[in-house]
Amino acid sequence: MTFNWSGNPKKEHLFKVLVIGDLGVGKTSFIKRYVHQFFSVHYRATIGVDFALKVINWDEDTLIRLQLWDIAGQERFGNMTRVYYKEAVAAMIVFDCTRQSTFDAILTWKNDLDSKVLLPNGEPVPCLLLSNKCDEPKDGNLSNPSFLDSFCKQEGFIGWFDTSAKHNINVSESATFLVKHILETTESMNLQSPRTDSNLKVANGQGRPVKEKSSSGCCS
Amino acid sequence: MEITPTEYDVIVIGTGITECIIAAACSRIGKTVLHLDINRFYGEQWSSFTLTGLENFAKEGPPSINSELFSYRHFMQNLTFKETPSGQPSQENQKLDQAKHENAQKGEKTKIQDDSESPEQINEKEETTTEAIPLKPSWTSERLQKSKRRVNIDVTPKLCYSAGRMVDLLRSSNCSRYLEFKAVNRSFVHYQGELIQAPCNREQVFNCKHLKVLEKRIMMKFVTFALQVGEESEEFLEWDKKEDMDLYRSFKLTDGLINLVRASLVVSSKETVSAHEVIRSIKHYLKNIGIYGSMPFICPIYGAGELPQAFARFSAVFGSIYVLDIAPTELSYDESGKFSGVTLQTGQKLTGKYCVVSPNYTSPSLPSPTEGLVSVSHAVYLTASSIKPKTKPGEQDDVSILHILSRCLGNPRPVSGFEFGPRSMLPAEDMYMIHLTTPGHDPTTDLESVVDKITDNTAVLYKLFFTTQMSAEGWNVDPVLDKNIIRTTFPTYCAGYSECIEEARKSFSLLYPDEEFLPAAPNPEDIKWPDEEETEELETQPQAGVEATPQEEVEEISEKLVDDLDNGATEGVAERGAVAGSD
Repeated sequence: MTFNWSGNPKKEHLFKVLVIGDLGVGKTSFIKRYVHQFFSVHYRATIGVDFALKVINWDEDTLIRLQLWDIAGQERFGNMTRVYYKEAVAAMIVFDCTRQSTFDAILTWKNDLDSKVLLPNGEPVPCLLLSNKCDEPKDGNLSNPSFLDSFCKQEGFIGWFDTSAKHNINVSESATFLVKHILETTESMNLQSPRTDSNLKVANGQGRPVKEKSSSGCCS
Repeated sequence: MEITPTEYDVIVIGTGITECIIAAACSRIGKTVLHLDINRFYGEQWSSFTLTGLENFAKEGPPSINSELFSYRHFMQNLTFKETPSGQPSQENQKLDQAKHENAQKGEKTKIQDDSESPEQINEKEETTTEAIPLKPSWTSERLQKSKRRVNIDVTPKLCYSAGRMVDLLRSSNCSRYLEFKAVNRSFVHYQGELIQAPCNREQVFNCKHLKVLEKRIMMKFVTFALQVGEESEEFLEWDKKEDMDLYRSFKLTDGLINLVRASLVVSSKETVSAHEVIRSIKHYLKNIGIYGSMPFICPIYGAGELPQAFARFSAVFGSIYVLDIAPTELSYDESGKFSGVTLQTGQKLTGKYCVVSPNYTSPSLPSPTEGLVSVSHAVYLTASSIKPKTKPGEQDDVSILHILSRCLGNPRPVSGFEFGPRSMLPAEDMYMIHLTTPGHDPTTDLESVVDKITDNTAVLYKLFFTTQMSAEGWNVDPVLDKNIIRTTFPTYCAGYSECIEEARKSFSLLYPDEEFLPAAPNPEDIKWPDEEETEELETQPQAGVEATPQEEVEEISEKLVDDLDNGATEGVAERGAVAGSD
């Protein structure tokens, strides 16, 4: 339990956020830049790692543990397991603005996402669009902001950002935008589903059962 | 769609749970794995379908391989849907119903056996159901239609023993992080014409209204004997090669008690059980009680299909490449006759050292397994309420075991299965799901009248019937590595998962005899990501990304652990404990 200056316990949130998109659009670079403040030109698939954790002191009363779930680049043909999508509260769909084909794949990703996970209230998971590698020359109408605006509106994205993991452009800004949205969503409705309030986890360790409140939604 | 790279240590075909565990174990030790499936989803006979998914699947028909060298035998046969519409349909409803009837008809096309029932007859049946029990106003056709994608139907319903091999493996590998469970809360036996709560522990035996005082004493004496007798002792050995009935009779169990013991404590699908098996089964049952509740089982929420997916995710995180919706058309062999690779429908050829193939794929050189199999009939009913509504405060109805003995309700073979409540996430909200199985080839004949009888106190919203192929219980699963190919088998017709885990473990040690089977995956929160200098080193040692937890983090974790214990909070303690211990 963490305490703030006034001695009140801090509100802690655990948010699972999915980072999805085609191979090589810069998902891992984005996560590394955001969580670990570095950029590497050696692109490599992530091995043995489910998610990266960013702990955010949001304000005096709120601590946020943001889990960014990489798609394990290997699941590259879009064949995601449902356990990957499960309990996610938001998603970032990333495309490479220098390659039109990665933009064309966005809706496939979005449909797969929406078919495999919903918020406990039945709404689709809020989704942010990231136009990565914005420091490089853009392909076709991907350089047209009003095109992306109307695309987001039409396809149900909460918004979009030009980002560059390499030059650290809009990385934390876009993440902050998404977290803000998640907080608003969770405050405006109770995401805790009454159906999952007594789920069991079989955790490693002392070999005794751990009764755990559901991590679905927020408010752990 | 080109798959890269084109060379692998292991090519796994089929994504059933055994194959997924093998793939996970191989990738965990750094082997390169390509994992394929002809279906668009994970799990084959180990999967869970949404009702929408299953209806679409029936419409599309089973996948097939366009090859003389390879064929795919589908894992669900005799699929039949029967929807029960609500009250007087509005015009809108009629249209929906029309569409549903078409679905039902299309669904029947996938049946291999001829079904004598015409759609009109189905209609008649639906009306009967509706007349008998009017639907709650909350269940309309529209609502059912909308809920279909929130219903998860297991192809092979199974439970995990609370202290069983599946739970052990999930714990030791850390694969447990992908899953959540519900404890099985209740067990019912069809006894003297009604479904009664099966007495599964001391308290329930003493409180059981259906047993006489003398019967309770006999039962306790018998169960205590089974629990305490050592397997080396003379008392145990004297029951060698004897029938269960001999054992029951020697303890003076009445016929009623024998039925209760058989249906509740002796978890077996076999028609005859030996005295030793009875004793072992009761020991095993009692050993698993009290860990997650008064019953010895837990089951994953959203259905058993979560299990293969958890291992598939684990495997992918360790580098396996997953390609679904792709048909292998040919296996190739080298000069010495050993497996050397696979050709895909796209024409692409991929090479591999070893191959693991699910039992649904067959070729002349890889005949379908035939021994020790049993055809199992399934009935899945969606209902508006539980067939045994809760009577006591605090009673939970997430998962209930149902057991109908042979010769009860006019069926010759024992029928067993489950009722899932809404919190198990298998049925949708405000809905219950009954899934019963029995050995047989014709699910409608085998099960419909039985399930109709036990559901006569509730509104049935939907009926689904199908058959699957399973391995008979007690069939010894012993994988062989032949021509560098391992053939996995069908799910065993019994409650738990120990057979498939044993099969995966044995298969893995045939491939890599000196390697550890599924050591724990690191906790993502403890991984120190490499900086740029370390990246080079990592190219050759993929596992090196996992660094020891820095000292201050360990201290912080230990502090938290103490904090949590002080606060009496149990949440996540075990996980954190493991973290602190791993340093």
